[in-house]
Parts: sequence; C-alpha cells; structure tokens
Amino acid sequence: MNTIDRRQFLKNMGMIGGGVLLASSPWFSAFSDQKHTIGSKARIGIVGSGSRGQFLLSFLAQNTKVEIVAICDVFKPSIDAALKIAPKAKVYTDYQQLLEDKNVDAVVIATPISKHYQMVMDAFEADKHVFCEKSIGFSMDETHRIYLQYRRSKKVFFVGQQRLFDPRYIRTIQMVHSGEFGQIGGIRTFWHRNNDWRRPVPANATDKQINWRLYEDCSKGIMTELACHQLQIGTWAMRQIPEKVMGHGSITYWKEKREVYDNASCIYVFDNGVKMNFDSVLSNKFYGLEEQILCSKGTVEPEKSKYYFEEIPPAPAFLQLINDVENAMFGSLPFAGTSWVPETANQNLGYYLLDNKPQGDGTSLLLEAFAEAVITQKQPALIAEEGYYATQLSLLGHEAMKEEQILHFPDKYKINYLNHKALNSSVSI
Amino acid sequence: MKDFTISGTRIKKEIIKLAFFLCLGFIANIGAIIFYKSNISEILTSIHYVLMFSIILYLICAIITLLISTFKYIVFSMKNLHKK
Repeated sequence: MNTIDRRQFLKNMGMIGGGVLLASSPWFSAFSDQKHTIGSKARIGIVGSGSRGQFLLSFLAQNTKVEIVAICDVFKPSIDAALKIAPKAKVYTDYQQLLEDKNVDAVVIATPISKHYQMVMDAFEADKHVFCEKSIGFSMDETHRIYLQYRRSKKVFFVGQQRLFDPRYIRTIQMVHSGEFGQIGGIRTFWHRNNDWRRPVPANATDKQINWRLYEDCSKGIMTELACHQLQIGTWAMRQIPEKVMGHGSITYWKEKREVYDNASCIYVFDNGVKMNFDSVLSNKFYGLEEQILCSKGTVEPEKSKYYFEEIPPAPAFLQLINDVENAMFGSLPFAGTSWVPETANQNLGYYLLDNKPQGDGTSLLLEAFAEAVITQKQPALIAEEGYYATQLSLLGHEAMKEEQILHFPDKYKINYLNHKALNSSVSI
Repeated sequence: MKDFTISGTRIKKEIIKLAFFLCLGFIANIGAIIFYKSNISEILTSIHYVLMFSIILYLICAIITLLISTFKYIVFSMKNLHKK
C-alpha cells in the first residue's frame, strides 16, 4: 500500500478528524508522527530470510523510511534470495553477530518458532527494537518471559498479527464495538486447507530445515500457524480474554512424516459463557477460512468482507403482493417438491464492509507502523499485548488438545490487559 | 409480398390497452403499499416493477389476441374451402 492509499485508508477509517479508528485500534498511534519522520530511516536487520522473511522484506524494501542493513540466515539459498531484494545488506550467518552490529536499530525475526525465544531475548539485551513473527514463543512460559523482557527493555515490540492492520478487520471491530450488531453470542473461526504443508527439500538441506512446521520440536502446527491469527480476532472483538479451553487434535489424513495435527478443534470459553470455536481440517478446503462473529442483531464475516443483519428490510410492497399471489396460486401444488415457495425477494445477501476491495492483508501497514515506531522509539498502545495473548491462547489450546483436558488460563501468565490482572510475583529472567 | 396496414383505430386500441395495464399496475402498487403498510415513497421507487408488470400483462394479452386471431383465420379459411 503506498502513501496515498494509506492516507485514503486512514481517512476512510475516520482517523483524520476523529478518534474512531484509535478507539478500536489504538496501535494506529504509530502513525501519529509520520509527518515528522519524513527523511528519517529505520535501520533494520532480518533474522531468518526464508519464505516468510523474504515476504516481509519485500514490503520493507519498498518503504522509503526503511534501510535494510543486515540479513542473517544459516541457509545460503535463503540469503541469496533475500539479497536480490536488499542487495546492499550485510550478510551474517550468526544472529549474535548481527545483534552486535551498531548499524542495526531493529530486527525482524522470521525464524522457526522454537528459535524465537533466545533470539528475541538476545535482541532486547542488545538494545534492539524487535518485530517477531507469530507465535512469539514456543511455550507459554517462554512467551511470558519475552513479554517481561520487552517491558523492561523499553524498546519497541511488534508481533506479526497483520489482521490488526487489515481494513476489513478494523471496520468489523469498529462496527461490533459500536453496538450496531448487538451482543456477541458466539465466535466461530475455521481455517481449512487441502494440502500437507510440505515443501520440496533441496539437495543441500534437511527436511527439518525446510519443513520445520511439521515437526513437534519446532512447531505447534495448526495452532501456532493458523489459530494464532483467528483467536486474536476473538479477543479483539470481545474485549476479553477467554478463561478456559477444551479441544481435540489428531492426524487423520497426512500421516507421512508428520508429527503435528492435521485435524484440530478447540472451544474457548469466556467469563460470560460466550464461546469461540476454532476448527481446522487440512484435507478439505471447501469452506476455506473465516471468522464469523455471531451477534444478536447481525453476523460479520470479515474475511469475506461482509455483514448481515438478522432482521432484513422487507421487500417492496409490490413484490410482496406478487409473491403472495404466486404463493396462493402455486404454493400448495407439489411443484419441484412440496415445500417449494417462491421467496427470492427475502434472501439475505448482506452488505459489504468496505466500498472498495482492500489491497493486501495488513502486512504492509503493520511493517510501516513498525518502521515509524522504530524511528520515533514509541511503542504503540496494546499491540504487544494483542500479540501476547494470541500466542498464549494458541499454545493453551495446543496443550488442551495434547492433555485432552479442559485447561484454565494460568494465573501466572496473566498480564495487565482487558479482564486479566497480572500476579505480583514475576518470573525471574 | 403483401403489405400489412395498421389502422389508426388499432393503434389507439393498443395504446388504451397499455395505459389500462399501467393504471392497473399503479393501483395495485398503491393497494400493496397500504396493505403491507410500506413506505409511500415506494410509489416512485417501485415504478420499474410496475412498468415491468404492465408490459408483461400487455404481452400476455397480445399473445392471447394473436392466438384468437390465428384460430379465427384458420376456421374462416376452412369454411371458405368447403364452400368452394
């Protein structure tokens, strides 16, 4: 998204001349100093230049306020591919050396999840701002320690939850929070695919290096890769953190060389009894992905960019008359089945959330916000906390499936956010 | 080839027929608005439905007239054939 698009987007969303946007998405405060940061540059180093790292790099390289100064990876083809996007970047194979580089202000970490903890902790220790891809940590304990380290460091900390900057989701949350759809009764999220996630392994690499998402000691599979995004929408909409979770996971279809589930289902329960479901089946893609927010007066489907009111306006009187005459004449005839009634005028086709189809999924704007925050050295409100709970909830769901038990959110991992209060005792770092 | 002549009386008849169906549609719309307690603005906003309704009725009427005329023509021709 270029500057003009962004300005137009912010204008459409009500940021200019009003605080509507900031009320539902306070992390947009990252852009409040954007006029003053013209000419400044955030010097960023990429740790992990695989497929995701390159994707992030492609956006960063287009940003005039960003200078890619370093790239680090242990896999040469990934470095070569990244250098094509950022040819002037210095190359490292050891992230510790990159962190010692004084020209690096901030790091973008896009490595396997199991590597995040040490890298993020070391980055804060080295006085760097951090953008970490989701999920933040490999365990709830790691994630909590990372959060505490971030709080102590006073540095900028972003998590790769791009839906926080996706216009469709922002509009959804604005409408839900305004009460337009009434009270939330349930949230149904699902992410279905029909593939095994396996990528071809080059001759000079191991399967684990390329397909780390399939190995239990590197990834939590469906929960950290997919659920993490969708659970965040639930807490954002509800303005609450769920208290408990139950679930079941299994490997039902893609059985070859796979350690993580290909079939998972979790139910998260909020304090008020509202439930948030997450389902994923990796052997059927018919329904794809969606987050359905079910409210007393309407339903929102942000991924489709549509909403539907429960009570739809009646059809024009003239059409109602014709329908009734048709029903009276043909309604009782066994025509195409006994229940056949011409009711085309009453279909609930819904409305579009936005006038125009948005460009991208928010990743570009998220990275722009990160660059702004690095330059101003100001952490935007609540963005780290949203990322924190998205990770913790996905990890808690994974534990619930592993243990086949109902698990409550552990008090020791609560932080001061929404309905949660942190315990006084903190984990020693 | 034989020329068809549409008389002024026929044109006048057809215009009256179409105007009648338009009036019928218009009255039906007002009746429906009252019956279904809809907004009075639907007199204008549903005008396209009324127009469509009137044209469909007119076409149905025209088809029926054509069928009757064809039937009459065939019967008349057969009678003439028998007389000869």
